[in-house]
Amino acid sequence: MSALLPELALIVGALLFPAMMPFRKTAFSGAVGPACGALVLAAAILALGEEATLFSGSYALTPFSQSCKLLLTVALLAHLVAGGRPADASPRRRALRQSLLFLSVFGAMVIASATSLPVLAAALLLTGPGMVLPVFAHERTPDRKDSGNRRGTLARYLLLEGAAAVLTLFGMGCLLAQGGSAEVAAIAGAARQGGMASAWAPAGFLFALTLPLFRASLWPMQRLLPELCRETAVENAVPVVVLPGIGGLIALFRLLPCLPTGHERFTSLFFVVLGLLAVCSVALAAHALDDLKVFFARQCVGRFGWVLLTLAPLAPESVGWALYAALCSVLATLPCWLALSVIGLEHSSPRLGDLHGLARSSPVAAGLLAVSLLGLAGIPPLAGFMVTVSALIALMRAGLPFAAALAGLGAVLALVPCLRALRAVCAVKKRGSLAFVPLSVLCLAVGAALVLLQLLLGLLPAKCLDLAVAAALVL
Amino acid sequence: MAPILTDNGLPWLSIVFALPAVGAAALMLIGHDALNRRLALIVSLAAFLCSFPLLSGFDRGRHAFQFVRLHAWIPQLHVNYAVGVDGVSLSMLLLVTGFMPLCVVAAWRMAEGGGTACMTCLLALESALIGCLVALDFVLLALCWMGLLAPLAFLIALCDDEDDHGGRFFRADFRSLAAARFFFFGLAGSIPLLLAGVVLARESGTFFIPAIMGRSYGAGLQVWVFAAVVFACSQRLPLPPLRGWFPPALSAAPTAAAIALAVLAPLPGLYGLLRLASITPDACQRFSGALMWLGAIGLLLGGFRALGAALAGEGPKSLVAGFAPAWMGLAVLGVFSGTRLGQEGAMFAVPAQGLAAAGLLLCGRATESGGGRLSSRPLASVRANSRAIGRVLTFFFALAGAAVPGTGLFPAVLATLAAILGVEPTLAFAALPGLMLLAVALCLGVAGKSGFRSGEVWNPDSRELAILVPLALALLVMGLAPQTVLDFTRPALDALAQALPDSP
Repeated sequence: MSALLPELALIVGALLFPAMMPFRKTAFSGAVGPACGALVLAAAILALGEEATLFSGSYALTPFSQSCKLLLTVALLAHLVAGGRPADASPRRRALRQSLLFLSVFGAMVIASATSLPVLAAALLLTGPGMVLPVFAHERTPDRKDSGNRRGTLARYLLLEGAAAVLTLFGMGCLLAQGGSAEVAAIAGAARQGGMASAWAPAGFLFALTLPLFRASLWPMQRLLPELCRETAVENAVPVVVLPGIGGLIALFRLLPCLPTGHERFTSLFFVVLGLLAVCSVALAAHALDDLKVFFARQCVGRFGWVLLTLAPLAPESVGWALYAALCSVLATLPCWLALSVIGLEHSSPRLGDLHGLARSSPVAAGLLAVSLLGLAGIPPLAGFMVTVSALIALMRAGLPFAAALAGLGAVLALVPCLRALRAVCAVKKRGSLAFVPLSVLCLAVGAALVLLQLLLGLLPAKCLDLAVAAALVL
Repeated sequence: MAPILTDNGLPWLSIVFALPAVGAAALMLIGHDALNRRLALIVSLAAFLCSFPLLSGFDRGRHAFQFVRLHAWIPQLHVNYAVGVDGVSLSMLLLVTGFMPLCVVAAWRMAEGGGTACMTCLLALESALIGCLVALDFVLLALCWMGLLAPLAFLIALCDDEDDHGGRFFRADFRSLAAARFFFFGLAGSIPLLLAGVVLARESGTFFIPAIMGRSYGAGLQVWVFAAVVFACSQRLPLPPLRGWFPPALSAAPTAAAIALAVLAPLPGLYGLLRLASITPDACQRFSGALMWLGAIGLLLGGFRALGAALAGEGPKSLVAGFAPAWMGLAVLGVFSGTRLGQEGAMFAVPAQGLAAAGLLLCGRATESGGGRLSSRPLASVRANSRAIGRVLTFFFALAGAAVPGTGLFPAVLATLAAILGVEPTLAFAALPGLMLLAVALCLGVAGKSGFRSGEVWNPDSRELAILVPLALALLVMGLAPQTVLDFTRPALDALAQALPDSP
């Protein structure tokens, strides 16, 4: 049962928020969220090495699933520490939103551990809206035009999500039919042994990946991301961008073994093209951006693109590298959102110009932001550099040197938006830009821990890669 | 595989590599400006002292990588922690560890951004520079190559020793733009190096540079690797057409960072070019002529720039922005002449121009007694507003930068021109105008009209003399007794020259 500690902690947390409603005006009401997040993280750390098969084999706890749960809980804690402004939201809505978020993260954990394809599909369908919809329930502005924009964005999101869900269900249905079993392991076994010879099998596999790729906001689905970010309060950006992205990548890794034999080259090229488009197009699109939320959201998508590039060889060790790359990418993006959410306390929709002079007015916040930006750009000795190296090695091993050159170009282009932000941070303070930005002790601790983790993973990645490759082999 | 000598004693090389980085981390934790300055000086001096065992233990008769340490780092990617030095990299390492305390002292009192941020960046920069010179694994090399970009960029953007309040906004914007350009060009030059390493590792099965050096590669692959490495090294040196970032970065940088940019940052670029012959000998043979012309053009353009700065009455930084790349152009001429004499000339040109540049920059950035505002004023003004010893030092460094006989650059010019005359006489005549322009520019710069005499007079105190006099003496030693430097580098340069096909 200790292996289920993260799930139990999430359920407890989901129930705790409505239960805390009567105490909403007390001094410790603001600490409930971070406390729950810390509890879930502690549970995930304790359950990290556990392996078990529960509920008659329908729920498998493997090194891969436990690693994914740790990643989810780190992102959740960062979001909860960044917090929101309780005064801006109805306490009941806020409690409901937090509960839904916890349940959605629980659903993402089910994606990591479910052995049955229908259960995996159900968890995948339910987690996305659960992470994104509550954001729209947050009444930030009474302006009728803004409300209309938000409803329009919500409608477009649901439409695209629905279309992706239909394609995914269709794809999973094909896999189920071709594999002859509802179990993911059985389908993967049939795929490896050449038992899925029909043309529907590879098509089904690619269709099944539609929703996971949509959640990771990879091109071309990432066109919706700027609109989502504009309508979202900055402190809620993690549930909108990062958590669905992690869920999408987890689903992608779970479905990878179902790739029918003989189609590896095509799938590899598919991932490489998608990854390159994410890396290069995102870097180019970010040049003209002024809205910091959209700016960082695009950078996150670019980092997810690197994860796809490391998958190029489609060998078991390359899945391990991709796991490592996913971890590094999440660790690189979270401090940005943390810093941004603190900045968002001063400016509800922070822009690039608001950062002018931050290095002089708030050196600590500026330092956190600067290190995060360098991590996003893949500058050593942070972990992003190792992701770049592993992606280039993976592309060379896959026999795609031209793709490696393009990826290198993308890495250079991705630096430019980061340099724009760093220039603003180092520039002299202008009228209207930020004054002193106070960082809470908890924010500082979480931010420093994330930065240290990035440094550790950048300088001593061997152990993490070992764990990731071992987890991927079990997968 | 290229010969290596492993080291089983105390890991001095790793200590010298890691000590500044550990010091930088400690400074960030301490966060007290006054204490951090002292600690930075102690750490940089300690790194310099720790390089002496390497000097004494170095076997000058063997052309092998020495003090080699090899440990598994990322076994899944076949990447190891591998460090080692040969004669060339050891001399460059001594230059880096010797100059860094000077940079720390030069950064002691800054108008803006001094203290923790500046010292942390300097120490991190030192570690990265040392790593570039001692790394024997391509991934470690790329990590250090890219790793020095951030500290140097932050030094340029955040720190300033110009006390010019009226132009504060303009200057801060100018600095941040110069830093961003430096960072962008630096990364654009670093990624091809990383790609070249990955390609070579795929062919040879390892990232270990001595093993990569010992293999032969196809002509097509050699060309691509050669192009990538030359691109990376040209950006770092800097050579045309990748030198657009250098003058604004040097002008914007505080004196400490300017010394690092002009003196220390080009060293890995030169070392990379020297090593390239061992990996892509056929491509080197094929394209050496073109690169020598590139060096000559760099020399000429640098001379023009220096002359323009002297005529416009600009400060020492603008002069150095011209003559530092020019001397790098001469070094490239020497490297790709394919002769030992030329390579020895290149090995002389780099440290000698560095010493002269550092001297000029430090004379311009006169510290508390003379007036911190002199760095943006003409060199002649520095000379005119100085006491006798200050004038002598300013004159000396300017003339040393012009390669006057008896100073360190003169043997470099002699050796390089002699080498080129034997290989491609036309190039020697192409290089001469650049050399003459440099000489004219520096003489004009120091001996020209001062423009004004301010009330402040620079009277070098004991601390400034303790820095400037050894620099001047080193230039004199290099000029009058060049064998002392060549003894280190000769075996390694012999091996490099032998790696080239049909080498004399």
